[in-house]
Amino acid sequence: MSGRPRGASFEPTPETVRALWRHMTGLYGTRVVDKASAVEMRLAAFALGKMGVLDPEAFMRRYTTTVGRRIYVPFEVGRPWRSHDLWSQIVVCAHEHQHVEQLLRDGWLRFAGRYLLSSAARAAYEAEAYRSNLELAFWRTGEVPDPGRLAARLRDYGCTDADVAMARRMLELSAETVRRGGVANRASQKVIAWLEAHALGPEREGIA
Amino acid sequence: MREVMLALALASTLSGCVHVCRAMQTRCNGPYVEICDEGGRWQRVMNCDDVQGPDGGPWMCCPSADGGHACLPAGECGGGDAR
Repeated sequence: MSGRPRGASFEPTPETVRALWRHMTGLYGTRVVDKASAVEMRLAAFALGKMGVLDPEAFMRRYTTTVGRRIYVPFEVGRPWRSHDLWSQIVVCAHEHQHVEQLLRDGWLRFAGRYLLSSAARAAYEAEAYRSNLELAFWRTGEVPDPGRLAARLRDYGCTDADVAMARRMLELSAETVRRGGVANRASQKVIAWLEAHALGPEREGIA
Repeated sequence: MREVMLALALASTLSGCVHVCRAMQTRCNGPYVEICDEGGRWQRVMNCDDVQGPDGGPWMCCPSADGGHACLPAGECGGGDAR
């Protein structure tokens, strides 16, 4: 694929980000929950800390968590905050809704069982969701982020070195598709379709 | 009957331990790109039937330039074990 990235003229605004999240939560029947005030997330943070899987503070402040159709976010949608700028909130929206796609595809029992009990399956599920990060970055910049850096985040998910290596390879293979303009994740397809219909600037005419 | 049940339970347990592929090996399985995990089980990477491209054409699972497998536009599929 050559030419200007399709989303090159896109500049996120708080209104756009809020409207996109409203659109996606409406499509999937999901609900955004403030992570900091969710008792169940505090309990989960405590348990993860005790198990040595994840630092409780990092879990609460840096990570968005999706459980079923509830998306626990460590930021206020549409308000840039710390590492979660407006663009990152759009990427998070696609990433977390891809987990909902996985839930719909595999069913609750299989998805939850595999995600919780097998670190290799967890790495595979996360690598698939991280493909949304690649797809959206390419849509906006024409460049694909480093698969290795994305896969390395899985060390925080209790994944082994072998799991991280597999996730990296999965993202490298995905990058082959993304560089040709292919979008595999359904959540990314929905986000990109919405952005192209509602949020591109006046330069949209004549994009590659 | 009891022996049959025991045999089935044993076979089911053992089948979870059998390595069916080599770690990091990739393949096309119909429209799916798959990769072998450390435990010797196939994990799905992506479904090429789901891929949407800029020109709206079909995508297929094909051998990729780096020796793995990936979803590529059908016209770029260079043969090999693509399905």
